[in-house]
Amino acid sequence: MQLDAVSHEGAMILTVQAERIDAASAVQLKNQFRDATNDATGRVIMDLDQVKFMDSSGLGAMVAVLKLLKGRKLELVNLSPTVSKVFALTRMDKVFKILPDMDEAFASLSSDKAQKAS
Amino acid sequence: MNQSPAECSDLADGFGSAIASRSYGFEATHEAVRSQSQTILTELFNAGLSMPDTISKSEILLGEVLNNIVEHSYADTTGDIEISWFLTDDTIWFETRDRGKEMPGATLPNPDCPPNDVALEDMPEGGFGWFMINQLAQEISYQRTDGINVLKFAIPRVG
Repeated sequence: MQLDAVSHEGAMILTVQAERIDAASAVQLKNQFRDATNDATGRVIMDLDQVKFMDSSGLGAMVAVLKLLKGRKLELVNLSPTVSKVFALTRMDKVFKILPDMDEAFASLSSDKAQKAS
Repeated sequence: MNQSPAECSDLADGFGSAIASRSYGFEATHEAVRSQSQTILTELFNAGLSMPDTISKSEILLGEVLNNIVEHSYADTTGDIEISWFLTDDTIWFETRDRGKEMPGATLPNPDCPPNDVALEDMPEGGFGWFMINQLAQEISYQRTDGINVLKFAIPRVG
């Protein structure tokens, strides 16, 4: 599993390059997320488009990386039906900000920027 | 990884006739759980299981149940897992067998949903597995016989 990081309008966009976040890859996710976000200060958006499956260990890793941000926002984008089901069943969909696609995430970034400018 | 044709014995006795069934044996590791789950899902699909919601539930349940065996039953040892499935018109039946430790209290865990309304630092990072299993599976039963853990559960074919 690999986490690609790019900056966009003050936010960090992390793309998960893996089909699964599960017991076999949960620790890797935590380590790579920590490395990628160490120096970041703004919003963090995680694109899960390639992730088709997440298990309870993967979900635990998602909660762990949220804690690494110490109160900063973590937005999750492009959840597959199975991944959505895991978040909904455990009610963790209330803990993360979940957006349907990157267009929504970019739109809210632009509105952030407009608010700051005004 | 050894795969053998189905000999699904008593897995679904009395639950209608099978459309298809299979049994497998594999080493209890997270990596093997991954590949074995994918094999089972592909074969269920080939046997006619096409409803996305049922496939999704099956995938979640297989991951949770099999990884629990790797992490808890075989916590201090290694060993093999046997899994069988049995597909009928309206249900998928699963049975797992392992020779690891007995389930604590010799009974099925039934935890509450981990909290989602606590301070960030207190948010749960575990405890989701059995909660999801109990939410998604039906007819769950556990038996320990002659040093073998036998777990059975069913998933209705809907959605």
